[in-house]
Amino acid sequence: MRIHLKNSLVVILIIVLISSLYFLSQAVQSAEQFNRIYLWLFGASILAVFILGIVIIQRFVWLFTKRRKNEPGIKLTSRMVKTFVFLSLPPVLAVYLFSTQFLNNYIDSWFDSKTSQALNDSLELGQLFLDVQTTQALTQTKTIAQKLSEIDSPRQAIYLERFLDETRASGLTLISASEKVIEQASIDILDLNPSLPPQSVYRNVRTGNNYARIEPKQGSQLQIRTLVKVDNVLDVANSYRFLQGLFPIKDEYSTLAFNIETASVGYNQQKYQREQLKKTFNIILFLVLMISMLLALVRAFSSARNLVAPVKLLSQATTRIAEGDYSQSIPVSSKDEIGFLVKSFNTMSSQLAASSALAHRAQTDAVSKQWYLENVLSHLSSGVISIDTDFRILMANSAALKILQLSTKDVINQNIKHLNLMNIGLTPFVDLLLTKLNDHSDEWQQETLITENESRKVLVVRGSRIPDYEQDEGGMVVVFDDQTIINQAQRDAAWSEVARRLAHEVKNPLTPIQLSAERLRLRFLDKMPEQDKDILDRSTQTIVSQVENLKTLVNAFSDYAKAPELKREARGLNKLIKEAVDLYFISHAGIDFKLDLLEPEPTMYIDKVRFSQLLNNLIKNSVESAKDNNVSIRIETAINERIDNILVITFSDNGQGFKEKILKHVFEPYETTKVTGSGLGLAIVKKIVEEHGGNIKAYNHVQGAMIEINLPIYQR
Amino acid sequence: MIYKIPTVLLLLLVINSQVLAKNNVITLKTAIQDNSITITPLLSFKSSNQIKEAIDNGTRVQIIAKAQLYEPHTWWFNSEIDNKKTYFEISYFTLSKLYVIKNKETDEQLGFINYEQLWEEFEKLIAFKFNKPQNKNTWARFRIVLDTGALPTVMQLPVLLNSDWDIDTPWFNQKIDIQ
Repeated sequence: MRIHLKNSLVVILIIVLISSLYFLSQAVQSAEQFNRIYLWLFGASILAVFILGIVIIQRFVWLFTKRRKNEPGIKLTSRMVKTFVFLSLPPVLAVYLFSTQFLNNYIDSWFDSKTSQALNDSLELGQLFLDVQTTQALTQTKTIAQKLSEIDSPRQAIYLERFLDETRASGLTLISASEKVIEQASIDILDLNPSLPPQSVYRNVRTGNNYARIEPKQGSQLQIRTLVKVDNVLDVANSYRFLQGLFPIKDEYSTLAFNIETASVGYNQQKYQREQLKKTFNIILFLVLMISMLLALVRAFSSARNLVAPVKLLSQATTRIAEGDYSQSIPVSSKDEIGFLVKSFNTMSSQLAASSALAHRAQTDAVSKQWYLENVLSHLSSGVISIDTDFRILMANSAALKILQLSTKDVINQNIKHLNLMNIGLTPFVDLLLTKLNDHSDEWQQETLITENESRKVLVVRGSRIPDYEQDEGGMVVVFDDQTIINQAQRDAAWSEVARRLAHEVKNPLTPIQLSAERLRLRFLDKMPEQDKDILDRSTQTIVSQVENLKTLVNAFSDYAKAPELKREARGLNKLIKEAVDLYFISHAGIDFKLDLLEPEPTMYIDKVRFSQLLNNLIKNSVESAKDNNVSIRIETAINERIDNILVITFSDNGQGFKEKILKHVFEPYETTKVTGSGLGLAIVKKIVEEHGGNIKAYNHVQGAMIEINLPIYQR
Repeated sequence: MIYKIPTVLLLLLVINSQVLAKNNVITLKTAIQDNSITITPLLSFKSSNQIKEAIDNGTRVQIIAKAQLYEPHTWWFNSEIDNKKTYFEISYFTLSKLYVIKNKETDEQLGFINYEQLWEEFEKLIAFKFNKPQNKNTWARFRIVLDTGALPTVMQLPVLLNSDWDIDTPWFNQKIDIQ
């Protein structure tokens, strides 16, 4: 809307300007209707040029501002404006220069000396002729004045009519010294107010001179005016009067003389105005030049902008496409090559948009798959890491971090040797990986042992080389599992099997052996000589006692191997602990039990019998580990500080504690520090705890051993 | 303050142009007769050699004598009662070397041998006759201007820019004593 208004204004301005120039040229050619408005037309032209100039300045300022902002398409606009200007200015300037020169020469050619001389001669001739006429008129006037002077003043007026008839004057006027008309005699009886000469003429005549001049009359007629002094000789006071005579000139002479006068005046006027005429034409031509230049500039700007507009739009759209916005469509404003280019661009952008959508979808799918893969990896219990050929770890799942006990920043994008720095216990693992990477093994599997906080972990590590096309520079993906628990479970299962078989195979023959030994003793003890009797007695006693020991051992193995048929119920632990303590307190009077049990106690979901066995085993262990009868056992229960629904049961004693070398395997069967122990007590305890979903740890505290059991609290 | 400076400059320019004008109206003579009032000016009027040269070369110079009767108002535009114009054309008659001044309204003309004499008697040719105004607070104003538009076209622009052609008098205002 604004652009249309602007364009309309410019068009109106141009029309006004051209009209003004046309009227100016008409006015210069002395057209009457334009002569009066010449200055206004000139002012309008100047104003129009001024406004056009302002429009051009505004365009240049616009161009300069846009150039500084480095807007798209502006350099092309500048170049096109320059081209237009340089194309249009030289011809316009050439036309202007040649026109001014031609006009000046042409105007000068109007005034040649021959014409001038001819006109002057004609004028002189006319003047000579009229001078004769004037002299005659003056002579006649003077004659009449002479006659009048000889007549007394009051009767002079009476003779005036008679004297008029004696001359060829058209009118005689008698004028007083005070320049008042006294009497008039005229051929035209309707001419009551004769024209009088100016005062200066009277002054001149008073001094004794006579006045006679040709004067223009109405139209092309001429007349001769004469004025002479009439001295009243008869008057004593020497008074005087004036006599004016008006003499007509014959029409044929008058017309010819007037024509000569008109031609001469016209020629002189044009000659006089020659320079002004040149200046005026030069000014008008300059205006034409200015207008042509300014219009060329306006047109240059307009054309440049029209041509560059689609290019600018293309540039802006390309920038947006480069920024990722493919929804660009440019209106097709022409059917030329630019229009074709715009159409092609629109097609290209729509195709790009479609391709981008596909690519985006593919990317989304890839991200989704990656997320899915990461999700799967994060839920794997196996540790997974990928390593590039530069030994840099590119990816590690959460299980890997957990197994290696490292954080993400310690692992991701770090060289695998960096793992050594973070944890020296990982050296075997790192060495294994380095070896396999250097070997370029395609697929491999190997066990390795790492140490973590003084505990050992058995890792089963499997590696597979990544082909080059999957990763820029190849590399390796490594999967590893913590086999420690599995190994432990396998060992436990093996021990259970051993215990079960041992109990089964050993327990059956023990009773016949024991009975046979007792029967031998009863049958032959009394019959044996005194020296043999003692031997038999000690031998059978030994057999019986050893069988008893074997039975105890077999029973322990049998308990360990027993299948976990639990009869769990929801109940508290405090009562069970107190019953176990009471049993020992009665049978072992010297034991100092210290109980610190949680009140109110949490409800646990346990097998009462199995748990009593657990408590008995632990108390028994503590009692047996004491150096003397001064036994002190402390039993505490508390809620786990980190996990709310876990009850922590702590047994601590003042015994010898666990030997360091077996501390790590204390819960494994047949690990004992006691001479008489079966080595199954703590193994059974651990088994019961695990059957109840808990875990168990063994420590040495300042004096004695400490067992910590974590059990889940019953959730209703 | 910033708007006052141009205003003051404009006023100074107007005052200056009034003071420095070459030609002036000295006074207006009024003659009241029955129901009419005749106004004649007393001028201090001179022409330049440039104008004389133009007239000598056949240029017809037209001069306008403007007279106006009005009732002034304080802080408002004047109320015009009547106004008259007389056009005088001055030309040179080559055949008898006369400077001719012609009243274009009445076609009366006078021929002068001398150019200076023409201007000396110029004021005597001007007389404006108005109906006698009823309002006692009546003022008359008068001026002489060169009719630029009547000049040949090619001379109009140079004349506009040439101070020798500036023969205009400023407006002369005078209260009319109406008995």
